[in-house]
Amino acid sequence: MEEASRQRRVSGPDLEILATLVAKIEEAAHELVERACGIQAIERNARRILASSRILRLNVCDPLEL
Amino acid sequence: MCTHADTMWNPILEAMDEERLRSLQLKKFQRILRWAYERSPFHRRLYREAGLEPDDVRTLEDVVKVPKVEKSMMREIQCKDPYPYGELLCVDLEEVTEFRQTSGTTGQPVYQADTWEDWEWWSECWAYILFAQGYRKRDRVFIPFGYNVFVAFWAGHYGAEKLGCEVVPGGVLSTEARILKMQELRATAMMGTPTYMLNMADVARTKLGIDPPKDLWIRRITCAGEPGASIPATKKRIEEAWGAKVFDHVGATEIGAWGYECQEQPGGLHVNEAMFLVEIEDPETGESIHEPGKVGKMVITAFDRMAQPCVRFDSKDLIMWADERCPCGRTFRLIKGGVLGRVDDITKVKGVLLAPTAIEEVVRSIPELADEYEVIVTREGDMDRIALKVELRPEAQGKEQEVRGRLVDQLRLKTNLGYEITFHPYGSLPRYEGKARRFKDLRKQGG
Repeated sequence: MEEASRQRRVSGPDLEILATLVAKIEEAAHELVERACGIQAIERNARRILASSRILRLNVCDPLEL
Repeated sequence: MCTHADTMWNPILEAMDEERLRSLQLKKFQRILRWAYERSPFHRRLYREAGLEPDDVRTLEDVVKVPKVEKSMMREIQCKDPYPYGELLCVDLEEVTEFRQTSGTTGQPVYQADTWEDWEWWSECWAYILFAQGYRKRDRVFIPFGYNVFVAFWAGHYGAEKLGCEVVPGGVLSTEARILKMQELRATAMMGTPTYMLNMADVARTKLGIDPPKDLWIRRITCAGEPGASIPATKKRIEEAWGAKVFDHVGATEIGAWGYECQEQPGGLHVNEAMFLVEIEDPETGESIHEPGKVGKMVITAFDRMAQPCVRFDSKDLIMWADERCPCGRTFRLIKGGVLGRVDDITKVKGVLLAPTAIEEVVRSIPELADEYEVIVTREGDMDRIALKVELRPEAQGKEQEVRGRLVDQLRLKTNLGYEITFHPYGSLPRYEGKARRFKDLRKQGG
């Protein structure tokens, strides 16, 4: 486990795994919006998560996908 | 730790190999072009009139086919529906969460809409800047600036916060109160215009008896709004006045924060090429300039700003590519000497092309002169006259003749012009907090 962690630090992150995790965050945030039943405290905070996760998309997913 | 993770905010992008970086830029340009075309009636009309469809851009060389946007075009269509942004807006008005406007230095201010997504992007661009300049979680960042409708330092504030710094907003306080608050809190870093950084240090010394390098904790300063931090003589003055490292960054309301100096300080600024496409063109012929060392006008695209996109914006800034790579390891290219001036700043006086930054470099390189100066160009009959007002520092009183001689020689050497030089009492010329207006060309007003 420690060796794997050390390897990751040296070689850099696995972009495909990071991109999958970003997609999961976005999926969960979208689902929160859908299930919010109009409750703004849920919907707007989930939207805010999406605004932040977009930056992860620019930093991690774009270099992989574009 | 991953290579460069201690010096770069995002080494995935900042150290990306050049071929992949250019490929990424092309894809991101195509994406924002299509977005603007589909969402903004202004952009769609502009492109259709030029006979351009988004699919026509297949390579980075094709980018020049896309018509440029000038600030005057933005002024013409604003204040119409959707009010007040007009047909530049690419999102529903209710998605807009931030209003900013340009300073209006060159005319009617331009309004700028941003969404939450855009605002996250702004602060992200600033995170790249501040991390590159050595800001870290341990920093207490003081922002001595009157936050208002201008974007200046709002994004710096949120960028610093994103890094984990503790941010102290020094908004509506007097200069003296700001200095005392910085002292009380032991602030370690700050942001401001080069002019105001010099002004603050002067006020600290002369009005409060505080010697910034000894009595304050500021060790890092990020400048914006004026080219001063990339003018060696001005940078040196600020560094000496504060006992701090001074870094430059460049940005604009309608563009974003597009360039930054890193800790290596190689004499230029990195363009954040993952977020922006910077092109340089010959101001006379409009031809693209790719070779280093040749000054041209910047045309810029922000890839990821969505509410009011910036696609091939004619910035009027004069820049040139550096021919060397930065030892910091970033593959983002450098522009040598920062922003060298603006196309509309360069003016002909007595038949000679004059860049106001050349006067600043001369004045600030003479230690006996105080930080402030003023240049006034007038016309009498068919003759241009150029006057330079300066102040001697208190400790240099009595050295007027000696300083005048050096000033005349240096100005002649650097600008090829003769000036009517007058010395004014220390502290009598205007002091500025925001962008200084030291160069006054009164010829257009019949002066």
